[in-house]
Amino acid sequence: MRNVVVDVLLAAGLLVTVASAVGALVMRTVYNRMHFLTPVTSLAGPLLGLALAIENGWA
Amino acid sequence: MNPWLLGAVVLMAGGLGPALWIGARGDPVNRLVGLELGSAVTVLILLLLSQAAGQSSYLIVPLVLVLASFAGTLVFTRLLGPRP
Repeated sequence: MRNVVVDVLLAAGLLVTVASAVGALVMRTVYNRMHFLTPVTSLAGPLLGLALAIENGWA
Repeated sequence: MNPWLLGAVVLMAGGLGPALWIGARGDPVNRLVGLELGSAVTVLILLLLSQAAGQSSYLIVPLVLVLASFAGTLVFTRLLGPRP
């Protein structure tokens, strides 16, 4: 069960990061590109961090 | 190949690749956005590589990179602004 949760969190973090990077690449103006930096830092980072925390335990 | 290493490879190709592309083309402000994206993705890659290697002491590298990239972004933003 724990492995499934870790894999789902890892996959979600990877998906958000790759989608944001591709989105930033597709956009043409600076401000539109800057919008796509936010999910990487505020969503993908915590998702991957949570996956690492669950994998390694709290002790 | 464990899932952490696979994730790091995916981020290198799908995250760092577009960031390098943005950072290498266009005007300086666009390149700064690419640099910011590249810094954020590199931190995540280093986290996953640390887990893949099983060495928690390697975590100091992404920790320092976070602080350095934050200060670097501020410096580049200041340098790209209009001169008084």
